[in-house]
Amino acid sequence: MSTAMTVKSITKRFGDFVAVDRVSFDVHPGQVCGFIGPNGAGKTTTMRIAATLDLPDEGDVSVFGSSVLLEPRLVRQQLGFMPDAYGAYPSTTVEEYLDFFARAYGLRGRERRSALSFVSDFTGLSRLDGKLIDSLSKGMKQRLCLAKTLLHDPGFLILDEPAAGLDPRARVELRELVRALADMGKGVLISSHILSELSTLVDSIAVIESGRIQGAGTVEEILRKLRPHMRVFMRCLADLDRVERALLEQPGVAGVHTERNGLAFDFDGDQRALAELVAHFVSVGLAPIEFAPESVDLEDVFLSLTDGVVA
Amino acid sequence: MKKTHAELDMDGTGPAVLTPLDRASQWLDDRYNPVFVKEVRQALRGKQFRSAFLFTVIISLIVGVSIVLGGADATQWRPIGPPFFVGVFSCLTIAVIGFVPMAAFSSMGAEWEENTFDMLILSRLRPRHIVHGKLLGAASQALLYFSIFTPYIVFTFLLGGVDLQLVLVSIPLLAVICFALTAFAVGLSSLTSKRAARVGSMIVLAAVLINACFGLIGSMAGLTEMSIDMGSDDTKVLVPLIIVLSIVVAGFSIVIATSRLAHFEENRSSGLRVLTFVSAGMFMTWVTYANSIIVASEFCWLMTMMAIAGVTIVGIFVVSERESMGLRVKNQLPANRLLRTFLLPWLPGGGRGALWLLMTLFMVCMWGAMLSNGSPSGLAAIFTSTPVGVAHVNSGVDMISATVAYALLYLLLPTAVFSNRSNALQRTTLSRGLIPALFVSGLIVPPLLGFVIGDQNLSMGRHPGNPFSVFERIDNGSESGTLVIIMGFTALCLQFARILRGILEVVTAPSAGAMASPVTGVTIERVPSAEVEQSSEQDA
Ligand SMILES: Nc1ncnc2c1ncn2[C@@H]1O[C@H](COP(=O)(O)OP(=O)(O)O)[C@@H](O)[C@H]1O
Ligand SMILES: [Mg+2]
Repeated sequence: MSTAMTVKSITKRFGDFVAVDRVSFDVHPGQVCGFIGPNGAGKTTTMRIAATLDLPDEGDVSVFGSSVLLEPRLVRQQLGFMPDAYGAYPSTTVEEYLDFFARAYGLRGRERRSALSFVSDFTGLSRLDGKLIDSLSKGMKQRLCLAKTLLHDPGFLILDEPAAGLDPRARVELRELVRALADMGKGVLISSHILSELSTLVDSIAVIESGRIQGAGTVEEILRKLRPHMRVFMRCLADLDRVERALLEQPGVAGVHTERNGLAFDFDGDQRALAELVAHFVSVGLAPIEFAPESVDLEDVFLSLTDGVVA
Repeated sequence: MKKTHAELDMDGTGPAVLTPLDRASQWLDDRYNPVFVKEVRQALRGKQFRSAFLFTVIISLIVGVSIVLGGADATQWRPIGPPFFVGVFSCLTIAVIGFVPMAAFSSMGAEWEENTFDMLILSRLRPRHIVHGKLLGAASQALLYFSIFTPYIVFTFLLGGVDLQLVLVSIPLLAVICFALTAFAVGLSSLTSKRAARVGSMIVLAAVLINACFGLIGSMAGLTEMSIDMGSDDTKVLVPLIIVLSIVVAGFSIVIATSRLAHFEENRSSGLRVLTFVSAGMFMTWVTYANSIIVASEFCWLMTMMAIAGVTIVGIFVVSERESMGLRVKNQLPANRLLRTFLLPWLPGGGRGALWLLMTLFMVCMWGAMLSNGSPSGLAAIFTSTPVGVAHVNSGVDMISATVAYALLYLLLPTAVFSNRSNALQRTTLSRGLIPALFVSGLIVPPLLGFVIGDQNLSMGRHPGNPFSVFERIDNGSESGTLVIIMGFTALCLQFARILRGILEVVTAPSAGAMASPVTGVTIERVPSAEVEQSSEQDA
């Protein structure tokens, strides 16, 4: 699959301080990638480089095949960047603000009008057209900034901590908007220092700490990398010894031991292999009545990756 | 999403039949500078412009009425025209030279404070669009002020006693100065985003504006009193000078603002180089013109020396640039070798900066030498006054050669020794600082030494480190500045390797778009981030 964005081993130093250290990861079209790490981890620095605003000391980022180093203008046409501290002009209405950026993106006539009506409908700002920006709530300002970012119909979006400071309702709404954008086929890189904000939204994550990527890939990939052996608990009606013997005959099973009237074991294989194992147990009459692959969620992954720096 | 746009367009505003006029206005509407549209909208809604405008209207009314009434009351009859004109002119001056540039300064500053520059840069707007938009916004404010003063100007004629020529010259001149100062304000505002520094630059701007206001009002009062002859030689020389200087100030401010807003890897130098070259040419054109009126060789070489000094000041920044050009510039070089060769002196980079310096100084010197000699023989003269030929032609050409020699010495020596090849910012700062430091120590160290060792000549400032004493002696005919020329020439020779590297970099660079990105595996020479961060504070 071709990538929407490829971050290729970028390093950024501020004096002697290495803010970003050989960071690499990919984001695919139609996918939301969560960029997660504690404050000061280097998320904003990485995102600004990807958005052509800063230069890396080493490495490069490509957006739909264009290098941010060499072809910043090509990249900018295909990229929407929503900075963490975005600006709003005083004494400007929502409509004027969006109109200004539509013009700034070179949209003309009908094209501009349809882009404007699309983004304000999409973000639900249509009824606020005549309002002064200063009078908007934080959530609405955030939507306005997102609307502005979408005007030129970029194929890739970089959103820097968009959920920061939003109330829970606005957060849910933001998540829905981002999901809708990914469903339109756009690639999205979205950062946060709070994992739970993103855990239900993202297709893949890149975890960064102290400028280094601790893990990147789909959530499953990361789980597998972290724990190559799935931990499974099983209880059968059949005799414990018999079950244990049967288990040890199976490929990929190790570390079997007794636990709460049942057996716990490490399983080296994917979910399909596990399903086959259960089917086998049923067919040989071991009568499994409880079967629980230990659930590991993103939160645990995050904690183990970041040494628990962030709760 | 493209599709969605189109769909919305279908069921949105239906395809109404457009008259040609509608179409024309739409075409225009699409082509306005967006920043300009935004500036006008914000100004009209903002408090700042509204209150300044109201203030101007009220004050000018009060001033106008009180002068007319005062004149009518006076026991002794005097024409009311001149004081009325001065009063009205003062109000207009305060508005367009005080308020308009101040508004431009704060509107540029607002972009820093609101964190909006990044968002503008990511759009299709180029830095120059932003700067032009700000200037156009200011111009529309100025236009409003000028238009409310039109009735007063007409009234001045009805009152009589004011020279029509004076009005016809002073009002457009005011507009030109307003433009220059507004551009200056925008340029100054673009220099720094730091709040403390912004306060400092605001104070500088206020001081400049207040001085300009008082200067203009004062000279206008003087001019109306003296009922000066607008056709005199002085006016004929001075008015074009004011126009040339205004254009030069505006040009530099615009170029500085534009390059400040550009990313540091973009080309931030060529504009400055072209502008300096053109400005020097414009100034020399004025000298030529003025010389046709007041014919004086001394005036010509003095002005040429001034032009050299101006080029030298810009040269401090150009010659000390880091040697290699930014990646993004390199990636845009044309494939045509001939075109590349032609572009050489204009492209960023210290070595090419030295080339640019030589070219610009050469242009100015040749022009000045011809003028000072009054005949093209000056062209030959400038060669014969080099150490190769000992002939002493005239002090004008000698003065010019010595000035150039000083320029070369001070600009090229430190930058040759501390060339910024490694792209470390400290190098650039070092050589930029060393240039004036060298000049100053050349002035004061020899006299101090003279006191210590009891050397009369040194302590009296008669030594090659003191250009002014050298110039004085050349003017007396007691010296031809040979030593200085040798030193300048030596500094030039030291630059040789640097210039060569500058040429080679351009010649050997791959053509536009052909550059490999590190993603594809090819490593590219990189710039340390220290430079990236800080040079955005330093450049331009
Ligand atoms: N312009 C800068 N100069 C010096 N240090 C910086 C600069 N920008 C960021 N940093 C440092 O780089 C590190 C990463 O910052 P950042 O990318 O903003 O982190 P995050 O967005 O993950 O919170 C921080 O320690 C920060 O202090
Ligand atoms: Mg951040």
